Amino acid sequence: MEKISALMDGELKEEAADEQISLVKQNIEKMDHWHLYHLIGDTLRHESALDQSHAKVSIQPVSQYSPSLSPSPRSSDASPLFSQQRLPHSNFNQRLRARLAAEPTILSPHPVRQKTIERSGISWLAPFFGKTAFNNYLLAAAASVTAVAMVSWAVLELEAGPRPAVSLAKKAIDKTVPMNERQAVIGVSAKALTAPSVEDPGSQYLQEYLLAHQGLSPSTAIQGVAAYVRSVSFQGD
Amino acid sequence: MGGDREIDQQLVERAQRGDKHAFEMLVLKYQRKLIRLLSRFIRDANEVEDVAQEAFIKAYKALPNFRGESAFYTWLYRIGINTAKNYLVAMGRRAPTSTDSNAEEAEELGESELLVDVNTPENEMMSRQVAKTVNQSLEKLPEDLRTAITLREIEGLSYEEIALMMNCPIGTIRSRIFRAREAIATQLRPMLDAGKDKRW
Repeated sequence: MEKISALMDGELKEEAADEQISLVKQNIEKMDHWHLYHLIGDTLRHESALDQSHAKVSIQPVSQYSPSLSPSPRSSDASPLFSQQRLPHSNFNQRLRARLAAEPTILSPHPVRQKTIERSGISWLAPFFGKTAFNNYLLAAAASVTAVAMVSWAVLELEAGPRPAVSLAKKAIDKTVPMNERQAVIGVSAKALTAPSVEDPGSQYLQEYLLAHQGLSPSTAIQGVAAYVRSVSFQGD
Repeated sequence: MGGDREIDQQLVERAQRGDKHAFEMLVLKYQRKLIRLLSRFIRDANEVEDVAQEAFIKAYKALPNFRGESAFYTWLYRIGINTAKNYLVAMGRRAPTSTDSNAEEAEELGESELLVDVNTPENEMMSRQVAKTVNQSLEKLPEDLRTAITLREIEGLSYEEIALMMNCPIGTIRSRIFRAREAIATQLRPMLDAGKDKRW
């Protein structure tokens, strides 16, 4: 039960607190402790408030609490002021529990927790907006960044599509074709690459190379896969 | 964790995900505070409890709208006040005009300015007995336990702050506060079990 005590004081780590809450709801004894510990706290605070109120009414100096101080002299007697602590009627909880049970269960979306914002390191922006507005802006900004990133990626992919094949082809030619022939193959214009001449001696290397690496051609939607695709058919009896 | 507000937020989020027990834990925590608050506006003890029940049910229904921008009790406080005002209007009585005050301020006033007796005789006796038992048990505690629980419950200090004041590890403080609560609860339990209130 020590953990219940720490739970109600907010002194458990989040995971441990979550675990304890789960245990409390499963265990009537733990729920009972939760209730009693809060009752004790409320009673102590209430009495303290009444002490101060009483001191004000009788125009006496309010003694400040010090840790070594024993309880006030009137704390142990049942003065009429104690009656101000309002305990719920005997069946209050049972009635409320029955009413709650009759209510449809709530299933609402999980709200953005303040802690998430704090962790993100941009909580300093929050005061410039309302907190709700800030949360909305945060979500909208995240969605916008994601959308821009996706569009940019798609555009860059389209633009950069043919390059790997060309550069791969160029690399292969660099290795295998002599300098004088290479000029004939690659030349200055791309025409030599896109429409190699049959008579050109370098074009044979290029033809072979491109044939071998057809699977990497950007003309296929999924590069590198086409070469491994095999047609399969099935004929039943 | 960050104290009361953080644990309340955790309970609220659970309730928002359909966990009614989590909301029941909030009810057990705040029922006396809410009843004390409502007693400022409604004199009759039975009516106060009816309005408190209504406020809790309204709060439960409105949970999807609660986004943790304010403390749960502040939000509950507003619902309680509005429920009380609507009730008084429906009963043809005049609602108090001073209900627009700040929630925290009113919360403090609720603790100290409630100088009218709204208890039924039965409740009044029970309240006296509870207060007497808590105080007697507190007096009987060893000084280190009494100091620890008083600093926590009345002064509202964190375990870390109490540990600094009492010059001992946080684990010791946690244990002392628990032992103090348990000692008082042991005295309270037979009395509450003997009464009609089976607590939960």
